Amino acid sequence: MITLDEIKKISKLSRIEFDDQELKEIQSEFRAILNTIDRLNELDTEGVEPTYRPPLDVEELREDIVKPSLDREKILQNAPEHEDGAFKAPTIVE
Amino acid sequence: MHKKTLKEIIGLLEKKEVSSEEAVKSCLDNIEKNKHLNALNYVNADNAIKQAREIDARRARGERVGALAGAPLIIKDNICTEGIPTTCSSKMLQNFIPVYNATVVEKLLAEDAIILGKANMDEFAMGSSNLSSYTGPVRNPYNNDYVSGGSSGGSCASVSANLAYAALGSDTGGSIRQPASFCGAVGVKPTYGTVSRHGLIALSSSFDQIGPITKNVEDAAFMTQIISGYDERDNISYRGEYPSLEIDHEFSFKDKKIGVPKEFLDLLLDQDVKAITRKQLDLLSDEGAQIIEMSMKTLEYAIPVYYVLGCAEAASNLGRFDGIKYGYRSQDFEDLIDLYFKSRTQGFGKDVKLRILVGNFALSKGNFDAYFKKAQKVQTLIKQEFDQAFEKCDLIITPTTPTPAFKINLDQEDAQSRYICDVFTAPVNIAGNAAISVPAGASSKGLPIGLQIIAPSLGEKLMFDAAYAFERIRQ
Repeated sequence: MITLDEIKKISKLSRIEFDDQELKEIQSEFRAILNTIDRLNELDTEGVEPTYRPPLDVEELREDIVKPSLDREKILQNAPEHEDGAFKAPTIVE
Repeated sequence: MHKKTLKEIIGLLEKKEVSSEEAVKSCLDNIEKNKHLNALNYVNADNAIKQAREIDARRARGERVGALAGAPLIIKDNICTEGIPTTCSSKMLQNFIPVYNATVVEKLLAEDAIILGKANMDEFAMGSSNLSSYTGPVRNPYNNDYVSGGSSGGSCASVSANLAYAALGSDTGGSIRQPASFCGAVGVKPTYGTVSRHGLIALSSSFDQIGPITKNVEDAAFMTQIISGYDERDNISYRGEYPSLEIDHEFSFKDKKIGVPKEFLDLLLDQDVKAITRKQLDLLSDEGAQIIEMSMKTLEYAIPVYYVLGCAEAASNLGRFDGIKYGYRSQDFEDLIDLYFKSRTQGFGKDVKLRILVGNFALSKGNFDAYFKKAQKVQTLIKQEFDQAFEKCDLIITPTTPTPAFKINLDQEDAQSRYICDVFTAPVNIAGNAAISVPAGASSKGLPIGLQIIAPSLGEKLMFDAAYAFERIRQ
């Protein structure tokens, strides 16, 4: 059973915060999902290869050729803040 | 006029019996009358009329026009449209305006289609009800107290209510087929890799697939053909042959082998769905099809596999939303890390947060082998089960969903429906093959019920021929 502390730890790693009420709700839904997921253990997968590749034959790597990129100014219009052609983030080092 | 099918309106446009401007305005009027459905996040009215006039003018001058020339279509709001907001029905992307078109949108525009609007959806395509949308639920056109299904709920309600002639959606665990079934539309999940996802805002990259939602099977085949094809910008794009999907109107079910997973029929709780599925299978049997009940024991594990791999990939894909490069940024933060926390906490809805947590749980040290790798192994078993089944049959048929649409205000009974509605559709995403949902009847309450026809990988031609024949037999 997943504990509140475990959920707090994962939410911290996920960069998401919950208040106490939300945490309790999340815990109960999390438990329901884990119960579903744990059913996978009913199947014997000894010697079964995991699926890593898409089902159809695809070429994994393309030629490394430089092509025009998207327009920088246009992209920056979607940024919450930008300055001098760069994304603006809060100061990290004074 | 808005009630015509896609092929019908294209025929009228070609003969100049109707102008594209008239077709667009007819749909716009109908959108206005159906605002209560909440099917659309954005209506591209002015641009659509302008574009329609241009196409009408080109046609009048006798210039060559594309195969979809002048037909207004709706696009799910997780597919990037240049200059048109693309929000994923999330607060996180309320102000996001893509600077490029998704490949599928490029392909539609190359055929002179008109983008009429962007469809409401479950937030970041996570859900089967459209209840998790930041802009509120989509109402089912057949009964406004019921859900549209999801996550492509707006796309399916739009087609069902004749707001446009066809729509695009995306299907990761059933997100096209399930709402199509709930709304009485035709919905297709093409073979994984045959329709480019470049420009689709990623949910779970191993399963995401774009597909069409239409009023009939012929339109679905036509749209699938247009959006399919190799694209170097999607690294799992299929490089081989893409067969013609033109419908064989002479197709017969005689001697066709139809597999029916018997575990699925046992799972059916809803009497209406059970009765209609049985009735339609009998109908196909009368047409000469050989119905083979087969045991496919691993399919019921598709949902747990989907939860593990789907959430893990969603957690990774949604890691990019950090309040820095694009999307929502909280205005109240102390430092960089706090900005990440606040932006993500305020920008994502509850269902999205839960899935990110489940995903990161499955990916974390100590759980990776027990959950992630285990799920990948079960994925292999599910694929093998489909491969073995298709050695014995040509197509597999199931109901699309175990119940018809449930109420927007969930009561006890409906709460259960919400969690099992992907049980028949998710196995197809796990295995990567193709499937279509076709309307098959109505429940005692008058809600649509769909039949799912599952084909092997790249088996779209047979799938559409059979679905078309089924549609015709029903009529």
